[in-house]
Amino acid sequence: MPNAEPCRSGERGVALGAAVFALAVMGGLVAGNFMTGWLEHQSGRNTLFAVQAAEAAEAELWEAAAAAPRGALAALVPGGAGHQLEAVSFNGVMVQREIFRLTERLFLIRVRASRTDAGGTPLAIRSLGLLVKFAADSASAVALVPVAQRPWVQLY
Amino acid sequence: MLGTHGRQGFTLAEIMVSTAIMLIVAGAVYQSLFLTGRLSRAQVQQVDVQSSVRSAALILGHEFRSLGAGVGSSGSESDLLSLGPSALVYRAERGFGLLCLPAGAGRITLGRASFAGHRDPQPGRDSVSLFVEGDPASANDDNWLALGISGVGARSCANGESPGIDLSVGPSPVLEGLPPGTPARIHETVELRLYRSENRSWLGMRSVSAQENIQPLAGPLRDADGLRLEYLSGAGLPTGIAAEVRSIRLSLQGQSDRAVQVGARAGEPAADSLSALITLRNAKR
Repeated sequence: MPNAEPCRSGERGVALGAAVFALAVMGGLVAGNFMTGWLEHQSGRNTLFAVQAAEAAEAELWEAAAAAPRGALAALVPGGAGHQLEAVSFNGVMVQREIFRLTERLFLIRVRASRTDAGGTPLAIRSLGLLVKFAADSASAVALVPVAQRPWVQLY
Repeated sequence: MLGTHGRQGFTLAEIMVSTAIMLIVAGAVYQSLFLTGRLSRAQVQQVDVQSSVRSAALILGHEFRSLGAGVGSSGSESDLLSLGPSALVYRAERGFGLLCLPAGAGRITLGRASFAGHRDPQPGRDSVSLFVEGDPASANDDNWLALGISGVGARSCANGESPGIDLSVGPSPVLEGLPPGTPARIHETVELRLYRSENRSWLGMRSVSAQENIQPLAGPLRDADGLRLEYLSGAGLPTGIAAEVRSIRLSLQGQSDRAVQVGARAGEPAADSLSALITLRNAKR
């Protein structure tokens, strides 16, 4: 009768288990660190988007006051629908500008800036307003100028 | 008798050497895991500090930007009521709307569709400022009339839109002449300051007009200089006169809730700072 090899099916080492456990622990730590960095990145990006929207709204607010067509504004009815200026888009920020006639001479320029992602989903929105009037300037021409007292409006 | 073919044992020396190697490797792995864990905790604290000061700067920028100074018919009015290096009392803007009906005696109605704000006006807590037009052809003689709000209700606007916000306000002779479309700003007097609670310093805010207790806005901040406010005139020079302020330099020094230890340094809170210069958009130009 030939000598039989001793059966080893019941013998198991710990090397594989230990290696898997070590990998899992290290993976967890790496994932934790990655998560922390990712959250910081997202938080910073959100702040950046909010600032981009705010700056765009601010810039276009004053630009709209200069670009508003006098003829179209004169035709607006106080308390009625507004006059939409051409929307402006740059660097992922879309800015919509509209002018409303509040009273005979008083107008409100409303600007809404949205920072969007590549798919057009808004990431941050900022709305601002500027109170302006038809007023005679030094050359006796009619100009749209901000009111002297508190013209800037936060529209949330 | 079982054969010994294929069964090899280890000598004592082999076991001792392998045990020593395993201990060295395990020690190195433990050290690595320990340092990584500590670094990870430190990063979380650092992120918390950065996030806290960044949020505070955003909120305060939003609050300060709409303030007015050097305004009014005399040019001496200001929304800044009390200036301090780490505290400020001011009239914060809380909403903006347009009258949808002509103003009556002690009563105005804001259109719901035109109203923009975090919340509706509240009696006792808020006041309203109404735009009073001077010469229609001039942009230089208009003014804002400030009135207290004693009651808030709902009232239909003439144009059939959803019920407007009806405000009972203090009497004024010019009130009844105000037409629909007149702009109205809602204000609340608030105090912002560095305060201590649970042995830490926090940036806190409270409504002065509603007599609220102070609530934390961000923090913890450094005890001595966690919040610094510097008030600058139009020439960029420091000023203590509220009507002369044109911008506010804000400086925040944040620190983490817990001490962190990186490397051999003794544990101390993670720290970060942020400065911003905020121009008051409604200050006299």
